[in-house]
Amino acid sequence: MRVFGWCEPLGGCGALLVGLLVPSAVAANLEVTVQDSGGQPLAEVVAYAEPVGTKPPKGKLVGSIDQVNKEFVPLVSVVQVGSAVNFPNKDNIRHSLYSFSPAKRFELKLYSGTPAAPVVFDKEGQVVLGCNIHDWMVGFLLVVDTPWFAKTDGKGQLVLADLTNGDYELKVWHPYQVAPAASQKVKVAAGGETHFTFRLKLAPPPPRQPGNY
Amino acid sequence: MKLNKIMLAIVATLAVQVSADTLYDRLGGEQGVYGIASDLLDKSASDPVTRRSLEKVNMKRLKQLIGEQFCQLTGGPCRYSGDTMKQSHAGLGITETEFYGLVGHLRAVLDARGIAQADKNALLAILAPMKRDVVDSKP
Repeated sequence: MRVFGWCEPLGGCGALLVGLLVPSAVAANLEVTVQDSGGQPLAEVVAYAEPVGTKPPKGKLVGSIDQVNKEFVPLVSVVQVGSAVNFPNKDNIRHSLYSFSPAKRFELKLYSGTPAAPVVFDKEGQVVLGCNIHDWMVGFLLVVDTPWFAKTDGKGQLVLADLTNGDYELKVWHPYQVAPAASQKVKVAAGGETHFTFRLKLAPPPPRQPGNY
Repeated sequence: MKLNKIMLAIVATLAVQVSADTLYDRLGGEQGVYGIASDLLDKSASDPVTRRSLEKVNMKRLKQLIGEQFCQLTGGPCRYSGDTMKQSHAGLGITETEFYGLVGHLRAVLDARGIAQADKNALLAILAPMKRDVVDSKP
């Protein structure tokens, strides 16, 4: 108790404790670049590293998907299995969220000025989010069984931080991908390869026009 | 034979009069109220004055719910399954101008369908109290 009391005002204390508890785990970062077939960077692509042969540790297990101007923000999200995801609703109008995806079926009514309880995603897989009231809205959530995940930035790049030594399957995913990209086997060890590139073909749906009903 | 036919005609007339005693029937029954809801939303979604709050809205669902609501409120056999007017309009910031714009569309839809003046007024009178829950009271 005293340790936590002493720790709380300081950042990074949790990482220090983990380091002490697992002295053999040397942390490494993986850099991932995702491009389309023409070599152009792809943003908002999820990359995640699944440990092979060991049980993945639990990460933060939280997430947040907002609704802004009748859109899901971000369009693409990723969380670890068991995460509690909040839907804060910046719009401050009513939304009626749903998912029919096998990984998580739910309905969540969001009323103006009334925060809703978070939704726990307890199964791996892809979740497509919609809104009953605004059929225009669509969002995507990938639930992965690893704490090592990230999304590419505008340059098509991301970093998976602090992986412990061992073997991993490195995978990428985007909801508009035409076909899944082959995963890459990664060995995290001193002097190992740390930069990986993926090619992915996306086919975004055509933009919808207002009054298209 | 002739008498039978006359009797039948009288019974049929009576039946029509008995079943036509709700506003729901006079608006054209199920087809009528759902049609009014549909026309009203089509008009409102295409008018710059009223279309703002209908942008990106699932119109099929909204037409169904407003049809249900009209049906229940006018004495039809439906049950409205949507949220309260306060819940469904919260945060939308509906102005008086937008509200009366929609009322104008409803009048036009009822006129176009040849609804009698008394029935038109009866429906508007049923809907009028909703204004306090629909229009944003904040300045």
